[in-house]
Amino acid sequence: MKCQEHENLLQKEAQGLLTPQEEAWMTEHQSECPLCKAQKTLSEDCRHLDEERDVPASFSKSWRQSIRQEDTRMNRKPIIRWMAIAATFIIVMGGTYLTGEISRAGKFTDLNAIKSDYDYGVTVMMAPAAAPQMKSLEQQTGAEADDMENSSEVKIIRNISMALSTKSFDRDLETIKQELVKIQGRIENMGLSTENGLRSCSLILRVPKDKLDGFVSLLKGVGTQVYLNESQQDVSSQYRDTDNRLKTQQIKMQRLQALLEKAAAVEDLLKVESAIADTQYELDRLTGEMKGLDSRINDSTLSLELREASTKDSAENKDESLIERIKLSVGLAFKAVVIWLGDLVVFLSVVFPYALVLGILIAVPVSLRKAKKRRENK
Amino acid sequence: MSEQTRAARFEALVAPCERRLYFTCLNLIGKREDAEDCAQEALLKAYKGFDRFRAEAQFSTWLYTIAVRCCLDALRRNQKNSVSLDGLIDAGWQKEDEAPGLYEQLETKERQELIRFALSQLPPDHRAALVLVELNGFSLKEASGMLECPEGTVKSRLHRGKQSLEKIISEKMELNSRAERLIK
Repeated sequence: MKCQEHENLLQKEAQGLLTPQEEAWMTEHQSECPLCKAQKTLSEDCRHLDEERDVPASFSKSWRQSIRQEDTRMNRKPIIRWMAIAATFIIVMGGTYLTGEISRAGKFTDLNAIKSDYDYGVTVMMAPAAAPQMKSLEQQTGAEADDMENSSEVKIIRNISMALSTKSFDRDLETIKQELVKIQGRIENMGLSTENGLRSCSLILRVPKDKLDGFVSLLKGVGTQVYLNESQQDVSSQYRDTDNRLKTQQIKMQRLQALLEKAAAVEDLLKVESAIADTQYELDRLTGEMKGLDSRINDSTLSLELREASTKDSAENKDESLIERIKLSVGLAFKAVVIWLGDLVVFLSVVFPYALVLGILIAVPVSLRKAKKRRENK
Repeated sequence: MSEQTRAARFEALVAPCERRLYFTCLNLIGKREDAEDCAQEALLKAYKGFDRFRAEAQFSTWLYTIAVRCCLDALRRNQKNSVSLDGLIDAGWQKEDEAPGLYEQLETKERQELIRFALSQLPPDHRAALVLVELNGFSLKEASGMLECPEGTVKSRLHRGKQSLEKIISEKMELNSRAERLIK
């Protein structure tokens, strides 16, 4: 019992909490109990174990040095960290935006569409009928003959008709106009009519073909879709034929001009000039036709009818309540966020394999370097 | 606070407890190089988290806590099969009857060596409790905070640690005296 008490007091003594009476009792007990005396010596030895030893100077130096190094590292770190965050933000936002644009333009699914973007002027085709006459010129344009392959290009004219019903007629009409300007489209025709106090606007819009799908998706979010009709007209062969005829006429014109320079007799001169006039007329006509085709191919036609849905937003009652506006805006914002998140997921899925490879390529040398450094430190 | 001031401030706060920190690590780890590594790691960790340190806590206690955790992690990582007296006993070595007073008859240096040896033989948790409470004079409450366990656990670890320490010391003394007799 006394020994147990002695042990408890030893604990107290270690923390400097012993009273003089307790100290006297301990001394008395130790004179009677050699084991407790040994315990006391052991306890004291423990407390004074390292008194005679010094901290190695190398340790004091090395931890201070480590802290200085850490300082230098930390001074550099914020700039690098912020730059990394900014770069990641730009990549993710930019990548998501591009992913959305590309996927809406259908470029992921229809790679041929990219090929069809070539200008018709690049494609040179020789009409079989003009071949004998133009053999020498054919040789001149031998290199251009390689472009024959481009004749397989698909030229499609897309037309879309759609009708939208809206409760916020003015605002939605304005939104359509603004969005159209953003994608470099134009209004070809616009008509406004009112029936039973409800307004209706008919628009013929010309939209760049690569922006058409994205624009239509956007329109679906602007109002309620009443109907949608899409037609596609393959004008590839018409395009090729017109192009061939144009080239033939161009070559014919060059030949005629060469003949005009050589002609000496007045009669010959008149005949050649008459032929030049006819050829020029044909050239102008074909050029116009080509331009028309190009315009219809490159800028799809979107016939849009925007109908006012109720009298709430009618000509007589234009003012929307604040709650209505908030509701609509929140709805639009929500739709935009959903679209953006979708684009983000697609972008991250596309980027993931590349990021994984890049990560491995960076992580391996870095970890090897660290391991080497650790070995050196050891 | 500029970085220079930050480092200087940290150094000023560490200076009074540097010695105690170093020997706490040394007594816990046992091996000088490893103990220095642990102490340095702890100091670096503390420096990195220096901005998060709140003045409500005592700096030294906070620092020792980090150091003890570093040491315990290191011990758990490199649990070595040190030469144990239990192994010798298992191999047939018999301990003679205890001779009270023998320990006190030894030189202080010899006794210190014995304590260090015995400490190195203890399990990490028991060793940590002993080093903090017996060697460094921390209260049970402080030690329980550092070791992240209840006071009762620290107390029992301390008790068992002490018993093991005494046992190892007496066995080692016995072994030494036998070896001396054999040499003579």
